[in-house]
Parts: sequence; structure tokens; C-alpha cells
Amino acid sequence: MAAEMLVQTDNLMKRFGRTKATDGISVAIPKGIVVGLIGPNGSGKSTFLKLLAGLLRPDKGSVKINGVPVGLRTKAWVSYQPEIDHLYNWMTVEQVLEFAASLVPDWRWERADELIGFLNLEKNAKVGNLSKGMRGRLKLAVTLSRDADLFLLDEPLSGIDPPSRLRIIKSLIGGYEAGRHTMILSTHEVAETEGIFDRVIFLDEGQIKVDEDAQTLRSRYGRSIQGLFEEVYQ
Amino acid sequence: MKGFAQLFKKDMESIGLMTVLLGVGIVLWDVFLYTRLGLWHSRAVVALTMVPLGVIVLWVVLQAIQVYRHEWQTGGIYLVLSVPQPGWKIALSKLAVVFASFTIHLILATVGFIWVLRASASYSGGIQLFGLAAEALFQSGAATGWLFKMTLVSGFAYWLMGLAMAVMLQLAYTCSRLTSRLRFLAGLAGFFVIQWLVGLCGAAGYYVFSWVPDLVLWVPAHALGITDPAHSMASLPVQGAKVFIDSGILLGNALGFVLLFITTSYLLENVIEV
Repeated sequence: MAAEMLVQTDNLMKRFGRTKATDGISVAIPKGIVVGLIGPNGSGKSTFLKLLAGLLRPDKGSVKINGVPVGLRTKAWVSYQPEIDHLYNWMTVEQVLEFAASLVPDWRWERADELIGFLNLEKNAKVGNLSKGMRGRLKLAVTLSRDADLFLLDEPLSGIDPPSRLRIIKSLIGGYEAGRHTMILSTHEVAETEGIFDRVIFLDEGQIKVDEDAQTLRSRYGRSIQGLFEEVYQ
Repeated sequence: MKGFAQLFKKDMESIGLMTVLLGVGIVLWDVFLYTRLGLWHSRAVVALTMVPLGVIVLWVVLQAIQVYRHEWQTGGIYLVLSVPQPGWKIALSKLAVVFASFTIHLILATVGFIWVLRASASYSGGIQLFGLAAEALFQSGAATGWLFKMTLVSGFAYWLMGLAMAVMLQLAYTCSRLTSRLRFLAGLAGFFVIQWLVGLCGAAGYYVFSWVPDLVLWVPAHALGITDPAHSMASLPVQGAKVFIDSGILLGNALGFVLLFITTSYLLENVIEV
């Protein structure tokens, strides 16, 4: 059973000084589902995603992708989008795509072109001249143009205007192949994204508060994930 | 190699403009000095052509750090470290751009020096040492050969020194990113420890590679100050002394720098957090 899991963490602990960013997180996420990682600011969502992406190292516990401890090898299977702007301002959109494509083994140019068109991005535009919403779209295009096993999206809707949000959510659904791709999406903008979640993990102070199938949660409590989110974090 | 080429191109872009500006600055400086020949003391003019050699070393210091710092400033480090690129490729591209930039500037500075030195021969009435060197460089047979050789050896040594400096500074900067506070002090302390380690490697090399034949440089007598510098070099008898350079120390240091580079690569791939 364990071998079929894409992501496995065991008692995952990461501290920053005295603060426990993640405090004993143990989860097993199978292939082919969309997971909503939900929690308020400082709940450990970004830290958890960075640990999966190999940008942070656990102080305690373990994290594995496809049964392999996170490292150079697992980075070939993981496409990560950070919350911050991480693309070079002096590059054009096309140069960003070329640069990203050269660094990974699973780049899909047809998918990249499709996303650039759908997200209304100009290939000749300089990243530094793009609005925040457009930069958010470009980040998403870079992340989703890979044919990775696991997509990690850290607050893809943060600070993005409503029209861009809708486009971003549509892009997420458009390129996603259920059963093959796995997506973990951290957000506190639950209302707009909850429709795409198969499973929901609520984090608070670095610990898992709820980890359940999204539909089961809705049925059991008779309300939306957004409603539960408000109740849990009140 | 596609990934490396793109990393190199990207890193080159990050310092490209400043590389061009400094290159233009060196050329303008040498042209300006050329126009001063005959107006200023020739020795002073030739001496001033060496100013860029000092500037470009400072440039290496700044750029070796800047090419790393830029990644953190732009957030690009998130992209670079989240993709399956080995640490050595990331470290090598950053070292290579600094080295390429340094090489371009070193060539420009050297060509400028030789150009002004040669032109100064026409104004050699007041100068002695540089006039002699210029004369030797372009008129005398054996001494010319020696001067060319020494210029090449000095240039190569200077070139390697730039590379060594960049390797040490880039590791020191990487070390500074291992702490969340007092990064400048951590980097500075790292730099001193790194220098000490390189010295240690040189000392170890002295014993370990004692079987490697020493390098021998032939230095003409006049260069050692044995003869009267007022005499023309062309008329000097070809005699001099041998200078021995311990190969073991050099090999030890070279291995030390390779180890430093490997350490930087390892830290980037396995230890650095963002």
C-alpha cells in the first residue's frame, strides 16, 4: 500500500529558531489527486511545500517522493511554484520559458504555448513590465508546462485580481490529468478553489488539524470547505 | 550541457552590462594615457596603465559575490534550486561568468599596457626602467623572449589568482547563507577560514608532492639588479639566475581550490535552504 503513495512524510519537523514551522506532520498522499493545503498565515503551509520541493531540510522525521528521500533525484518529479516572484525581471516571457525548459527533463512546449495563449501572455513582454497578476500567470505557466508527477503550488492566487484568479483556476483544471498528476495547492482563498480539491488538509501552528476527503467533509458537516475553514480557524 | 549553457547565459546577463562598462572604461583610460605621452612623465604614464589591473581584481571580488547575491535578491534561487540541476553546474556557471568577465578585462588591461609601453619608447629620454623594458620587448632578442615569457607567466598567475579569489569568495558567500543572522560576519569568518585551509593544503602539498620537479624560471642578471640599468639591455650578455618555484605547494593549493569548489557545489545541492 505504502509503495503506491506519491508523497510520504513521517513526523516531519522543521524549526526556525524557537518556532516550530511544521510539528510532526505525517501524511501519505496517493498519486492522481488534488490536495488543498489550507491554513492561516504562519500555519506551516509554505514550509511544508518547501520541504517537499527540497528547498528546506527537515530537522526531524522524513519526507519521500515516490519512496525516495527528497533530493536531486526527486526534483525531476516535482514542479514547484513559490509564493514570491522568482522570475528574473530582465528576461522576456519567452526567455523565461526557454530558461526553465532547459533546466528540466519533462518540459512540454505544446503545453507551454497553450498556457501562454490562454493566460494572455505576450512572449516579447519583459517580466519586469508585467503586472502582479500577469506575473502570477507566468509563474503558473512555468510550473504547469512540466509533465511532473507532483505539482506544488504555494498560494497561486495570493494578491491576484479576480479575472486573473479565474484564469489561473481554469489553467489548473485544464492541464491536470486525474490519476496521473498530483497537485498540492496551498491557499487561504478557499472559496474560489475548493471545487477542485479531492482532499483537504487543514494546518495550524505546524500541525494537521483535519485531513479528509473533501466530499466526505462537506457531507459530514453539511457545509462548504470555506465554511469549515472559517469555523476551524475562528 | 543545455542546462549549463542557459545558466551561464543567465548569469552572464546579470553582470553583462557592468562587464561591458568596465571594459569600455579600461579602453578609454588607456586611450587617455596614450594622449598624455609626451605631456606627462613617461614613467608615470606607463605606471598608470597598471591601474586597471588593480581595479579588475576588485571587480572580481564584487562580481563573485554579486552573481550569487543576485539569485537571492531576485528570488531566482527558488527556481534554480527546485529543478534537478546538480550543484556543480550551478556553481560552475557562476564561477565561469566571473572568470570570463575577468579574462576579458585582463586582456584589455594587458593590451593597453603593452600599447602605451611601446609608444612610450619614443619618449624614453627621461625614463630608465620602463624605457629599458620597452626597448627590450621590441628590439632585443634573448631579453625580448624573456620579457614575453615573464609577461605570459605573470598574466597567467594573475589570471589564476582571479579564479582562486572567486572560488574562495563564492564559497564564503554560500557559507554566509547557512545562517539566518549576522550573514556578513559569517561570510567574513568563512573567508578567513577558507584562506587558512588553502594555506594548509599548500603546506600539505609541499610534503605530499615533494617528488614533483620544481618549476624553474630563468631570470636575466639585469632583472635581479646585478647590472647597471643605464645600459641598454640589448648589449648585455645573456646571463642570469635560476629561480625555483615549489611545485608541491602549487599543486597543494590547486587541489585545495578544487576541494573548495566541490564544497560550494555540495552546499548548494544538499545544505542551502531558501
